[in-house]
Amino acid sequence: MSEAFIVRRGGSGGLSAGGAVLHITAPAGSTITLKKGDVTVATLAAARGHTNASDTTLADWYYAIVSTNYGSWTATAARDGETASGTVTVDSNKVYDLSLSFGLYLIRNGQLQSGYSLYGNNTISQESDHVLAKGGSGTVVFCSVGPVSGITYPYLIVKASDEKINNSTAKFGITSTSAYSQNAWLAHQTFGVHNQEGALSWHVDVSGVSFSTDRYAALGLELSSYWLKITDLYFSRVVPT
Amino acid sequence: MKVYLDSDFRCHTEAAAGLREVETGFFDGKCEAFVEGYRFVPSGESWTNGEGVAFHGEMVSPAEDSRALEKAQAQHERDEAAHLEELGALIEEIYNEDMEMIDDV
Repeated sequence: MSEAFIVRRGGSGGLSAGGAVLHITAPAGSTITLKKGDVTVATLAAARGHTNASDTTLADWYYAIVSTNYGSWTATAARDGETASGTVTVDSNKVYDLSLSFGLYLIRNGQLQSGYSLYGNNTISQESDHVLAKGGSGTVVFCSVGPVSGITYPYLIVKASDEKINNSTAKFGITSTSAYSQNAWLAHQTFGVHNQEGALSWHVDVSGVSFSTDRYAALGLELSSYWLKITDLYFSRVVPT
Repeated sequence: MKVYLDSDFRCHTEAAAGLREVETGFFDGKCEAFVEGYRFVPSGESWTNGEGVAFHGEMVSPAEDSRALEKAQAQHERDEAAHLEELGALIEEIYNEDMEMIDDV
């Protein structure tokens, strides 16, 4: 297509020419494939090399789209056998940011991924655009996703669109079983950004956790008024900035 | 349970120069090998790993292979159970001896 060229983003203002720009952030050394709908439009070479598969440096790609080609665009980053994709609807003259990272997703874009289950007896459920984790009544409840095994990624990341923690805290991390107790945690982080709306993200170091057998990514929440809308839950070599 | 942190947030079970004391329930009932294989980042503090990634407290995560730590803990619990069983047997033996002495009287 004629618009298939890489451009540089000009400052923070709008675009001067008629058209949009995809701004893709992905692990350095990736090859980026762009599709409009199901049609592959362009393959963008690695912005720069990388030293090894665990290189966590990010790089940027820019791609201009003329107005006649507005629609659904998907960018896929590939490196060392790993891939990551993101889709955006392009419909106006502005910069669209897509951040791609490699990892193993249990929940992606609010959807539980195939092969994984939700555990927690009415404390966790699949909703239209997120997975809802709810607190219980009176005591800490645990809800989880899994099982997972054979993981070699060092970080577990959870992203939420909203949370209501009521000036208290919640935990997330890795547990050894789906039948939870406080003793089941192998690694966890406590977070408490209270009653916040908008994108939220937390990460925990799981590099020491052995995944030689099944593990579960778990949340611990207190009280029935607490909830967390999870959009992404995944293992990664890169922590979002 | 009190644990003692070094500058890299690694846990120790004994106080020593350069270590600071923190209180946490995470390690209740855990053996020395388990505790000392962990990293504990207290609330309000952060630890940055070798890749420059910052982790905010409170965070508890194994700094060594968790399978080995779990095995050490399981062995510790078996030893504790065996020790309790021995104590129970000893108490029963003493009790029986005392009863025999009372009967003799």
